[in-house]
Amino acid sequence: MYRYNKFDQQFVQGRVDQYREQTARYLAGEISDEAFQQLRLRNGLYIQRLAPMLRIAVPYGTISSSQLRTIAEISRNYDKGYGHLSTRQNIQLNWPELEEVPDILADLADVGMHAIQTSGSCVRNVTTDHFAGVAADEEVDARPYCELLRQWSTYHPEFDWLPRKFKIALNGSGSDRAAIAVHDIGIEARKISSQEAVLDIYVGGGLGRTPVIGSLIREGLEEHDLLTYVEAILRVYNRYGRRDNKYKARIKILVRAMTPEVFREKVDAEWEHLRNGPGTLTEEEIRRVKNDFVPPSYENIENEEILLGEQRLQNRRFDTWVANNVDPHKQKGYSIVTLSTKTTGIPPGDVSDIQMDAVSDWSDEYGYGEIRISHEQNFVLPDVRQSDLLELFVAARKQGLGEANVGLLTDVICCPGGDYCSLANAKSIPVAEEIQRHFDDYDYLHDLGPLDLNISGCMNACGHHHVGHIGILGVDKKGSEFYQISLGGHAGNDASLGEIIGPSFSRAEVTGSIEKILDLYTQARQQDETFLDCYRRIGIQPFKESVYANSG
Amino acid sequence: MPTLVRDGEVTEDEWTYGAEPESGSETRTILNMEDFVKQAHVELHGVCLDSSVEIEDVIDQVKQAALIAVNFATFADGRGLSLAVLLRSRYGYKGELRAVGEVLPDWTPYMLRSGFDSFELADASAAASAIACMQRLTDQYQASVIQPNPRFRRSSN
Repeated sequence: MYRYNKFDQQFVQGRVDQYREQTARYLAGEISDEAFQQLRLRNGLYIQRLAPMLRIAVPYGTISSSQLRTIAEISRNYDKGYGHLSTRQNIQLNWPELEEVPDILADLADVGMHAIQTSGSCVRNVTTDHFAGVAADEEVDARPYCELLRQWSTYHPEFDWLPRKFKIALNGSGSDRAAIAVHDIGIEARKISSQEAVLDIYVGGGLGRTPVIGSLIREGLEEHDLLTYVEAILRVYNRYGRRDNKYKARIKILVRAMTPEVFREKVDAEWEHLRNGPGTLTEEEIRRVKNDFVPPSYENIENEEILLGEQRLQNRRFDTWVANNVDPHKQKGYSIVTLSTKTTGIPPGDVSDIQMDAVSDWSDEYGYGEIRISHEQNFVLPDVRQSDLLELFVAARKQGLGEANVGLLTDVICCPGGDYCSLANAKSIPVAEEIQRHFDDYDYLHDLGPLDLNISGCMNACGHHHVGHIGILGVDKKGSEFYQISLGGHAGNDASLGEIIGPSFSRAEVTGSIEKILDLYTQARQQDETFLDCYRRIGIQPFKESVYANSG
Repeated sequence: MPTLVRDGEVTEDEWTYGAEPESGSETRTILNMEDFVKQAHVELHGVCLDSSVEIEDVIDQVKQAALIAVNFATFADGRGLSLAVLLRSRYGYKGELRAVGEVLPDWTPYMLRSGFDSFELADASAAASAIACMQRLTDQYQASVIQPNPRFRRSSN
């Protein structure tokens, strides 16, 4: 992973000093609430319903064992001993004191971490495939581009005060695990020769109140042009994005108002002034950053098909876990392991300090000290020897991180919802829990196959409900919590937005409605047809009829 | 009373705002666009632009001005930063570029790096604070108007 040089280290420390001094001036009454709000947001600090929330940046979801241990330690010292994995691959602390945040940031800076631009109307943490660099189906490792963008966007002179937040995601694999179609900028990196990669640039995708699939505006951008092209997009957005209505301020609204064609012309005209200028990446710089992402020195070992076959025969739980939570690795003899945080009764993404320490230890023991956080709010250990899988599974089960449900119905993506968030219309965590409790039969879940259930407590869509195969959105109906269900959303390749099935449900009705939807699917599916494929074939009508059959 | 910071220090302001420059007066006047274009010698005057101005449409008229003031309607209005970058980097404007309107100390470092060289702060205390803010975190990743090269084109780390 990327290693901070002297400058990177000095910079994060300087930013901590700056924020400490800003906090002091705020507490002395020299900065208004309104102005300080913006300053603290750019250091990841929200004031939530119950307490402040600090969002720590985990650049493109990659964190080292020592960094994760530091976060566990911080959660003990300044918080209630747990953290929350967010849908932007970050880690959130839910109970820090405003006065102590500068100290927390200083502890983070000591291990090369920060909370810079994890909130506010600026370029946010750049995200990518949580299997980047190790996935068997990867064409191009997108992490160096993510890091180059992280550096470029950090404390940018011109683009820290945009009309609204700005999210960039990159993907370099055959299957899109970064949901690039629903980002302000989505970048697909692809190989054109053994040495050369190019970038396809999409803009104006997004979720929230107005979900939109991004438009392709530049195909085959050369990698040295990455920063100047993104600069051109940001300048057009900064100048022309709406600032009068925050619900219409995202770039997707601008792109739609201008039309993608006109937007592209504007960007291209702007880019003509910037391309080949000093912002153009040098070969040396690209090489420097790529060098930090060379694979570790893997052992020369073989795949363990026979051993794994025997172990799976003897242990059915392990067998299911391997089927769902273990993915193919680039390197022979190794696998990628996803450790699910989705245990019934625990809010999706919540992890204790003890779990964070355990994951750190496993990453040292069964890997090279590196951990990923997925936007599905799970931990990923990228480099596990196949001969170690069973031992890791047993250890993970003891720590409540061994659920074999990755990609299944109970691997719910869920925002903090009305329990924590002041924006929410309805609670989301208890809904996830009710569903997890109801559908607890592994054979049934496995039989249902891949199924993304995403829950958001309001239309800001932090739980990505638009792109859930089944999406649940909390709405406020005359002061009561109701839930709207949509079907057919999808975040990967051929992304699509879900369609609302009909009138919303009370909380008591949600699980029953999900059951009817699943019953209809199991009756209607052909052979191995997945839920999404089945839905795309038969459409929403049969589901509608099934769910509202006896509701008169 | 607004306090002017220029080139990193509190300075006496020789400019005033007005509808018409006083003839024969030593005081220099910052005019709105409408009055500015009526002047026979625009190079003697200043002009105040809104951050939302389409600079491509007015650059020919304003590039001779001795001073361009950019009005920040709210402190978080980032359009003024892009406007300054364009004036300096694209159109080569060499005169004084002044941030006016809702200019808060913690925002002046962004303005400075985007090409502003003078700042109208609310009072002396805000001006002192702005000067301190601009002295922090002066080494950056990106190129800017005052730093022609990004970090990776400068000295090795």
